[in-house]
Amino acid sequence: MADADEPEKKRRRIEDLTEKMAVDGGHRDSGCNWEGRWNHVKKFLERPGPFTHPDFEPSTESLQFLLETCKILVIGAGGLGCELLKNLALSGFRLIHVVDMDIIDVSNLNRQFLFRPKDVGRPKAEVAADFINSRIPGCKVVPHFKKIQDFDDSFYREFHIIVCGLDSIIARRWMNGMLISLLSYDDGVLDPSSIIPLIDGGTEGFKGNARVILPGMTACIDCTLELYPPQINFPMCTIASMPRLPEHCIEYARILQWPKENPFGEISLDGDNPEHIQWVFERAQERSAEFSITGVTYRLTQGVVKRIIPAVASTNAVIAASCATEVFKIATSAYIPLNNYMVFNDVDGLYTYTFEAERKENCSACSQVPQDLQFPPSAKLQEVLEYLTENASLQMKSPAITTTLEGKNKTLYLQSVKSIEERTRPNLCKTLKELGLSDGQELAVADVTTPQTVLFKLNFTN
Amino acid sequence: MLTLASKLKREDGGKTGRASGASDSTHRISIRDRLLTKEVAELETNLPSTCKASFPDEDQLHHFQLAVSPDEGYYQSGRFQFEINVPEAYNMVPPKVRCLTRIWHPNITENGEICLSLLREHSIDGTGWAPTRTLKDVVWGLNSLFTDLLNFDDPLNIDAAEHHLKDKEDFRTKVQDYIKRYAR
Repeated sequence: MADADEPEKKRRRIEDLTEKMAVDGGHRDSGCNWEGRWNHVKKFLERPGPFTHPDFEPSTESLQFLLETCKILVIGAGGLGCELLKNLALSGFRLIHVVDMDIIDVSNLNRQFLFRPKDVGRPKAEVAADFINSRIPGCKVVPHFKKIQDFDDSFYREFHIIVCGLDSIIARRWMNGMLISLLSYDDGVLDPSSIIPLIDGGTEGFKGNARVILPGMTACIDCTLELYPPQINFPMCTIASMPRLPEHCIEYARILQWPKENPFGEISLDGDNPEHIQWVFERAQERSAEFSITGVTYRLTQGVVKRIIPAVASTNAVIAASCATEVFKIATSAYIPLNNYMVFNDVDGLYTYTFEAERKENCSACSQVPQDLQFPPSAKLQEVLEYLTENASLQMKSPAITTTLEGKNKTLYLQSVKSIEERTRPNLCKTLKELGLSDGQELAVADVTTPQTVLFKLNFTN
Repeated sequence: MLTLASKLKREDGGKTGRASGASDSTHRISIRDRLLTKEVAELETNLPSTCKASFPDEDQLHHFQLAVSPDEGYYQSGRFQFEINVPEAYNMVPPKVRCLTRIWHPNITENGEICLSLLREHSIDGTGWAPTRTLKDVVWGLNSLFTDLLNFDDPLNIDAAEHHLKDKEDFRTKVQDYIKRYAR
């Protein structure tokens, strides 16, 4: 009977399809570029189309560039990072580095699909790299179980494009600042080859955004800092005396009642222990009843105690896809990149909007091109001070000069605070070399004549 | 512009060493330090007459002490020391302030924790920290805790607030007693 045959036919059809879709194209021994492997990419790069960049010329070079030369850095191997690695690897990028300082937690497994239960406790970057490298032949992902701050400019300079899937604003600002510091100027004109495009993606629940930043040319992270919503942090006085939200009640139980009552002995609250959460939940309920506050649930209690911001896999997928597309566009120059900020929201229905974020005039990160200061290393600090006050276009009154040495601030001279003036006065007689300054050293100068700190760059002459 | 940039990189292949300048990250001045250079330079000219700032280390502009000597109100004749620490993430986050002097105050605990909305990263009513605020605002805010920001209705030290509610004169006595013992 036809019906009895159907399951068998279906099974055979699925088997056939799966064979064709096999990761290695069935050509495990014949290398990484089996017939037809990159057809999907070639469709974009080897033929003209209605959406291509006006300067685009179809050629086979673009694909070769992706496969052999283009170096991409992915920051973060979490919700966005896993998606990004998958997207980039399947689009032909092979030289990928990934940086992540975290280890895998069981709560990551519902969406960070490069990880399995057996991987819990291992570094995200390493597990992600292993997975991609074995799943996608030819792809060489290099993991770094480190903080982004552990690397210096020589590391970041090596990449053509950097994509971020970070979970903190501070990290974004750091990365932003790093790329801005790599920019070089010839007589005040930006050298385009010193620009490393930064594609930044962020998500929170059902909301997300993707943006393209060309340091020195387009709006940077600091230019649009006000767009970031304030981070939730509950003040102690509200928690202690005037709670208004269910979260306040939970925090009261967590911060004040737990250490006082020690319900399970002298051990600290463990967010993964259901008994602990239950205890906090019950205390929070009592308090919320006292203040007529609704909304305390077991789930909310868990979330507040573990500081969980619920993550949605689909939002990560959308934003990572947008970011990966931008990486592709920029790497191949085949399509006009996003200009430059896209927001996405599917809380209720589906909403997306793209606009051009503008550079901020007095942006603390990117609005200043450090001005050149030419002095021999044997010049005394006093001479620099005199230059700042006597130069016709500067005419400063009593400039304060600081710099950074070995990652720490050094106050060279600060006149307006008496105690600091006394202690830094000896520096005026020292030479720039004696003070530990080197060629290219950045100096921060503040004066009553300048609304903000002005940056200078020391250019040693002979 | 963009295609040119990518093209230049492509031709570069493995990228040769960049020209000029030790743009070493250890030499890069952080946003916090840049802001502090300006804010500390103009600090002394902007202090209220009741406040004095002191820097134990001239290279650590992010760590200093503020002495407040109120000239009116309950806390007159006391000298209160505050310790101010400006975190790396400034000015996205506010400075961290602690009161080093033991005090009987509705908005400052006896352990030195301070309730000042300006110092909060997030507040529902918008009076919290914002990157538009500076150290000057923090100093004036701390100074005001002894005058117009002295708030018995939204207390951190509930006992002190209730004490004032029950018996104002006794409250005043205890404040003066604490000053004699700890705030000279």
